[in-house]
Amino acid sequence: MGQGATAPGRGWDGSAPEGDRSAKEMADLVETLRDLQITKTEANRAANEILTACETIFAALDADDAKSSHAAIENAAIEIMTACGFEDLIGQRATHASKIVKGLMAKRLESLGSMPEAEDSGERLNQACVDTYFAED
Amino acid sequence: MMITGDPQPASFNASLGHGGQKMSFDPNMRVLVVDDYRTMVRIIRNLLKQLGFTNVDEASDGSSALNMMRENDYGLVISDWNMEPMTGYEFLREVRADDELQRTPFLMVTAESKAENVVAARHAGVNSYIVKPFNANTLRAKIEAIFGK
Repeated sequence: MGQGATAPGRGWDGSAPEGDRSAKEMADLVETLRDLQITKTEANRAANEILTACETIFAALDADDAKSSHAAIENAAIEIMTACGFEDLIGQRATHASKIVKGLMAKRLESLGSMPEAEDSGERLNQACVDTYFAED
Repeated sequence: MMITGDPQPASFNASLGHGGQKMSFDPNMRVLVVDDYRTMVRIIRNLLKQLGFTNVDEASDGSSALNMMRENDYGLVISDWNMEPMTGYEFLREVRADDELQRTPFLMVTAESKAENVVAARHAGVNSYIVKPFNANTLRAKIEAIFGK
């Protein structure tokens, strides 16, 4: 190989060939999707556990036996606290997915040279704004 | 100008669960909750139960909800926006276009908070609009407002 020649299959700057980069990007995207799926599953599981515990509390409040009601409410409260641990798990997954997406964006931006303009998806209103709007006649 | 449905008359003050507060609607009225997300249906159902509503049905999209409305008499509809195949907005328009159903009070409970969509829902005749995430007090306030407390 003479001076200035590139290694077989490599780009002019010695970078990985397009096929390898695409495969790496695809693997990153698959990993991100997996993170998102786990986030969704965990959030759903936690929500269901919390709802079940709340329903247990409501039922206990209607029960006649104060002693067993107290125990049921205490157990349900502990279940709610435990279920709240989902925040830590999905936080880690979200951070991981965010890093991957940022990495992919950085690579794309390098090749594009500038940041494309994001499409304007419209102004979002909070509940107070919605209430004000509905109060107008 | 707001286009409203005509809420059913309040028949008596209903007890409000454990809080003991009073509300001016019939707790026996049939309520339809429409959302494709099972967890949200469960949350709304539990909140309604605490508000005194015991007769709650559920549907997972606009078209099945519309069929249920044609077969049953509902005093209140609480619907999400983002559902398939028929969205909550399309469902609302169908309800308001139907001579038999158009007077049913309709409450939109949705994460969809784009200004243009809130405006569209109001113009289509929604009675009230709640942006997710919401709490029990917001739901209670909107239902009270619909039934003219």
